Amino acid sequence: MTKHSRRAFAKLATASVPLLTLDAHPAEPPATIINGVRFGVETFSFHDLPPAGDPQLVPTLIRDMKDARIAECEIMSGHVEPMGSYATGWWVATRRDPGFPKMREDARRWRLSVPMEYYGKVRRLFEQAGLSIFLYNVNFNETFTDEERDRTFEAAKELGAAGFSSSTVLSEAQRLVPFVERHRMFVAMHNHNNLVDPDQFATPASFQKALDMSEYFKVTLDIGHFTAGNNDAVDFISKHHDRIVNIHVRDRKRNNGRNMPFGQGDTPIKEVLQLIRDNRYPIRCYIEYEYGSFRPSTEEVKRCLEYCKQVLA
Amino acid sequence: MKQLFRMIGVLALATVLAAAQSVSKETYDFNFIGQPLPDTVLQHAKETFVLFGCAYCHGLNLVTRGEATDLMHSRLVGQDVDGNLIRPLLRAGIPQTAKLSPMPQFSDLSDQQIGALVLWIHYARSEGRFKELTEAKDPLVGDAGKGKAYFDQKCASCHSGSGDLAGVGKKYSGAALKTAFLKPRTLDRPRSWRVDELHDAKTVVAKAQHRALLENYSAEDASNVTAFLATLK
Repeated sequence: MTKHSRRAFAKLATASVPLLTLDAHPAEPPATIINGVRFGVETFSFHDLPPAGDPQLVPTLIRDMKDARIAECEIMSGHVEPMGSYATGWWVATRRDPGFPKMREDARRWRLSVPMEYYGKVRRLFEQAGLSIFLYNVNFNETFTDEERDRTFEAAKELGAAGFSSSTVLSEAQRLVPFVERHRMFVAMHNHNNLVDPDQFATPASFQKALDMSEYFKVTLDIGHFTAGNNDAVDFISKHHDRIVNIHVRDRKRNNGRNMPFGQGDTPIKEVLQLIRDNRYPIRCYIEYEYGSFRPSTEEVKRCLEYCKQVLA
Repeated sequence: MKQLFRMIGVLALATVLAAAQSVSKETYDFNFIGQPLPDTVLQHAKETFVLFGCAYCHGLNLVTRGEATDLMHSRLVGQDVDGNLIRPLLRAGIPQTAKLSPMPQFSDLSDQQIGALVLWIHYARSEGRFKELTEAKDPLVGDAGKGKAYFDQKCASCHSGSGDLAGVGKKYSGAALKTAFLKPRTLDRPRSWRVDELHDAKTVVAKAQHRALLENYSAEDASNVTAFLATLK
């Protein structure tokens, strides 16, 4: 075994720390950077949060992000608003529920009447903790009214978000064009792997259709879902890196395979992260933890980040 | 002195075993998975349901999360017998769907692993349905005539109002009667170490049939059968 003097050991220890910096300097947004690659988290990754509307939800989220040492996030609307995404029409099946119209109307009324200060308070909670919201994850759909779409853009600005990430569909993207142009704010389309519905984002061709609609349309590439749909994430990033805002880092198997612990599925996580590092693409890499585990989600998010650190070393 | 050494030895061994078995909150999320079940086979099934990611979308106790199918009320799960419908579905997934994210396929799991998932789905469903049927805020008033028709169709091959169930309406009343027929004691009886009991076909079949019924009773069925059983004085 190699012996180290106390001084040599201290030097070694400090040399490995800057791999992960949680920099809360007020002049710059805080960042978690590993070998030049900027990391964040999709707040969906934290599974042990209080329900939507609970005043402890945002403080718990902040606690979990600090615990995982991740400085920025893409925050789900259901983690900001007092209702889950299902109440705003995210899931097609829920829209068929008899109680949906009233639930949807209540959600709309809340959105249109809540003072913008509500969102400002959420932003300040993050800022005071040395964290930041980079993207507001709102799943735009046909149940939104134009007034509601406008209001949602205002909300994103109050949250301090640079733009949106959205699990949406091509037909809704068409409706969003005048809004992104007017607000000069981007919406990054997030893919799943539904290959039978041509309205869904699941293939390079579906992304291209949205990218052609407006320069304010970007991509949040979920490399796990992309791989589960038998697409090539490395190839897509190489070709479209200038329109990709962030990637969701998760591992899935091909052929609609399941979510796996990082490094055990078919998703080329290592190749993608190294591609971003080596080409200095300004693409942020957001951990999205969804596979099964006995550990609490914060512990698992830490392991995901640790895997990324190892493949970037 | 010899006894003292023996005691110290026993204590040391107990400490070592406790340490080996202790699970930290960082490695095992008791808040989500819950405390271990007394039945180790069911505990294994529950952990399999967590480990392969089913619990995250469908809910550990089948209170569904997200857009995943509600397994507590799914007709397919209700009609499944020992995985005859669930197994092939798990192996293939559901790629043809209107949902954002299709149900993934689990073709890489072994038969034993799929079997454990099926076991947990049925157990959790029967527990959840029992809760729904017994904790309803406004229980329905049952129709004894309809209850008898249901009994004759589903229960009479094993039970008789003038035989094993004679006087049951006198023995139990109201909610207790409902609980007793929805979940007979045999369902929750712990597994026996006796091989002859373990393989007692009558008990095994009775358990399976009662679980299947419990997974499929509607609130109306439960109230009607309770009303009928109450007439067996």
